[in-house]
Amino acid sequence: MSSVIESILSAVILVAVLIGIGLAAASIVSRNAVTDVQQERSVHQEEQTDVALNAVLASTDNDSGLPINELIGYTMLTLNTKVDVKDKIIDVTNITKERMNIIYGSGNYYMTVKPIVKGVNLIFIIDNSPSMTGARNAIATKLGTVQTTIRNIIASAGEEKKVSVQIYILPDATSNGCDAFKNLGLPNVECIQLDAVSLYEPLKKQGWKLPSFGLSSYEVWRSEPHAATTDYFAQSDWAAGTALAALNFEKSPYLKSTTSINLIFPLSDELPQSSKANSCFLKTDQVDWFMCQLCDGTCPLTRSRNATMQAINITNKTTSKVYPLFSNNCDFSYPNDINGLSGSGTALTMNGYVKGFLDDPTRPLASYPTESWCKQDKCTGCTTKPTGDICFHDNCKDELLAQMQAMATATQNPITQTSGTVININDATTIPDKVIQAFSKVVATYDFQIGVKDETRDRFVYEKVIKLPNSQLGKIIVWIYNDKREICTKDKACVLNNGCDGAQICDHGNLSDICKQNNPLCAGAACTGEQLCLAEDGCVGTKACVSGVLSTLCTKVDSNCGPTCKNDCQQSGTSICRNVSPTIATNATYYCARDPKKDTCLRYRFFKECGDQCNYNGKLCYEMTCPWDRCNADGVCNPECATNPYCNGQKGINHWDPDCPSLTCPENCVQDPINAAANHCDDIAYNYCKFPSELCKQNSRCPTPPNPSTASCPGGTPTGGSCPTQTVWTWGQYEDSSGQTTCGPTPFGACCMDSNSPWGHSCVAFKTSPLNPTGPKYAMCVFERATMHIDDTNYLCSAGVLLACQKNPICKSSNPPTWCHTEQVVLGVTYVCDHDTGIWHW
Amino acid sequence: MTRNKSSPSTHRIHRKGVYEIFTTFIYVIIAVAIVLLALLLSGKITTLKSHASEERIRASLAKEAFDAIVACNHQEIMDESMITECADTTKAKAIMIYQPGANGCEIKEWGKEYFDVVTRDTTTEIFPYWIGVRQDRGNQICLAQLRIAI
Repeated sequence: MSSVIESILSAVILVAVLIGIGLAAASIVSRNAVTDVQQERSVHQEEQTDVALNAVLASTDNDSGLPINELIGYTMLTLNTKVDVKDKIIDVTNITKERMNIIYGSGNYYMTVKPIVKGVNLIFIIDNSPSMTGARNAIATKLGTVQTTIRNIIASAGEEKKVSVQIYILPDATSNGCDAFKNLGLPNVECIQLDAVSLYEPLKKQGWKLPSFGLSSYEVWRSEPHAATTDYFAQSDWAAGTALAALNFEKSPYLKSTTSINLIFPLSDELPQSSKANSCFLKTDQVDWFMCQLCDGTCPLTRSRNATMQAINITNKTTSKVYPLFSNNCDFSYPNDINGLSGSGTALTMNGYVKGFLDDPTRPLASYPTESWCKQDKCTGCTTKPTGDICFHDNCKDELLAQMQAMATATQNPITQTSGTVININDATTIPDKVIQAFSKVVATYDFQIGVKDETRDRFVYEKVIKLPNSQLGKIIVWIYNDKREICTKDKACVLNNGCDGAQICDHGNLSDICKQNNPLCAGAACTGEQLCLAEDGCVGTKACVSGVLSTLCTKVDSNCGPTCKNDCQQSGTSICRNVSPTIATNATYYCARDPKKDTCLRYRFFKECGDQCNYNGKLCYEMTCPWDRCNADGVCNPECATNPYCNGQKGINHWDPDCPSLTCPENCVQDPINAAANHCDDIAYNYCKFPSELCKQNSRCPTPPNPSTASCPGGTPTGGSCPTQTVWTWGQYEDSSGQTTCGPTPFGACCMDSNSPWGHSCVAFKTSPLNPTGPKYAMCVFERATMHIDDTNYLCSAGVLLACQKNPICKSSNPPTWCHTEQVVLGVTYVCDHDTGIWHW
Repeated sequence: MTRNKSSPSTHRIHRKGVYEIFTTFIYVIIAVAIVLLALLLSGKITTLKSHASEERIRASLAKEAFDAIVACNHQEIMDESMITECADTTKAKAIMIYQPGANGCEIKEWGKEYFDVVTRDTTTEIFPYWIGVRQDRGNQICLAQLRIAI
């Protein structure tokens, strides 16, 4: 018994093992197959998404005309999702969302755009004046914290990048501004001490002009003696420092090798190139110079604004963003007496200029100064605070703020590439924190997200790197959810319960569930049953009658009906595919035509013949049966004109003369005006021949002009002057209608001087056809429509104006139309029109 | 009276024979089941692979057609002539372009009627690609969908 059980058990175990192996193998094979399918779908989905995203990025905004790709780039540059183009504010997120909604439907995707930050560069522009000592020290003390904090901010966005710091110290006599930044032990920190040459020379190459202090030029000022040196206005020229830093960054290998955010923080309490008045820079006496810079409160608006504007013009062309630090907080302790200003302790001479600031110039020297000069009423360049600290040129602070604002924000548009805000510094120790805040805003304020973010939904993720207009890079991340909702592309017609027509509105890919009534006045009509109608494709349909209201929807009776050639195009050639119902009046018929390149019925093209012969009403038709030049206003094709054997084989066309009452062909075909020159016709409007100047006869050909080489002038020589001998025109001469005698070509090489002409020497002029003003000129009498006729080889003008002589039997009737010209008197000569030949006789 | 009883050994032999038949029967059943299961799995996997292969071929053909049309249409002008000139060079059964008409663009359709005819064939699969279409040789580029029937 036990052996049997063992046998069964062993068999079961063997089978189980076999099944297990089989299942495992099957599982592996099936899993591979599924993986293959999924990978294939993924590749296809990635291709489709890439193509779709490229299409969105390439599509243009209707208002600005710019492609979405470029607009997104501008949003990254300006760090604002709304950009200003041509004085129009464009919401880039909105227009991108509209396009993405069209493709995926509003609830089916999520898209975000981020600039790719490879690194951050912070540049401080600081003047080295004593009043900025506190600011320099505050920055130096917390520079490490600033670096670390900003590095962490970038890291939180998934980027571990370098944070570099550069400090530009503006020129000063001491050149010790970098001392505070030495031995900090921080990576990627560089301090650059500028002098006037290193500051201005690179800028001069960009067209920078230095101040002239009211003189004709900077060079004139430099050539004159004065107490101020160049560095005096350079030491607070934060505008020039900003421009220089932006230029240097642009040239640096750092920028070229990476994509970085470069923020420039100019820090100052003075206007660019100092708040000292222009007049101070013209003083030659040291006392005057010191006294002037302290007490002359005139703000140098023009000079400082020039500096700021020049800096903006240079910085605009770079990728840097400027965040000026407005530091007019009057926290500097300054010597109370003017002796301290000299720095030597030497008593200063109270000369006339210094006395001029005092209320009584005649007061003895001993009475000055007994207190701070800045407390003197007449000393308007500085003020004293209760703490004893003074403010330099406090009256210029509004202007300083305005210029910093201009530097930061006047350039905030898509074309220029700086942006930022002014940071008000009340306390120097807060500078590092405010720099960090500014950077945080740079990253945080740029929030380009559209669609629905739902991390719980199964999705396909696609990433794409785009290049910005300034060569920086941005990353687009798109989530496409697998559980897509249906996307609509247009409104869907529907019928309400009351029988009125309505539509389900398609809003950005989402089809509303509500059937909205089209006509609010619709309340039910008086239909009693369905009506026959013609669907758009020419098939018979019916309009439903619901509750007495007739639908506007035409529903096909036979759903298989349509412009199909599938069943009837088995053979080559053309065959009728389907006919519309004979009960519906229409001229629409479908045909199939075999596609010679293909050999299956599915490849057959179909053509729809509809509208009239001239395709006036059949915009969906592919062909029309009548050439455009034979279509009349009723859409009926006029018969084709016969060939005129006398007009170089050209076919005539239907009468183009609006005066012609008849359109019957071929009797009223006239010579083709387009080919009139070939037909030797002259003035097309009146059918003149080139030669002679008479009507170009119907069904006949104008005479061939004489050969120039055989023509000659009366007496064999030209009259009225001579022409150059080297041309064939040497014996041609004419006088134009303005009376100018000119040597020049007559069109037929004939001498046109004719003493018998009633108009003397002005019988011929050159004219172009009014229908072909740029075409060749030909001869005619200077008075239009005077007749030119030939006598042997001489051209004769019969002066006067002859109207058209119509070749038309109608003009011979007893009651001819008013447009018929039968008889005309010109210069005493009576001309009679021969309506059989169209020629005037006299 | 002696009863004619089978001996114990004979009885065991008889029972053993029954068990052997039963075991053989079990073997046969299991073998048949394994064969059927293997066939079933094999069929499923073959079908799956076949679908994958077909899908890959269709998608590949569609992408080829799309690339060919884009390469052919240098001016990015999508219209009826583009369909006849460029699309016929591809292996697609039919191609049409649909411009939904948003953001200042008009609603337009090119090649729809022939496309509708072809796509009535239930074996036809449609691959849509979104493209940018330049308007009438101007600078405006609209979104349009290139539908490729394979």
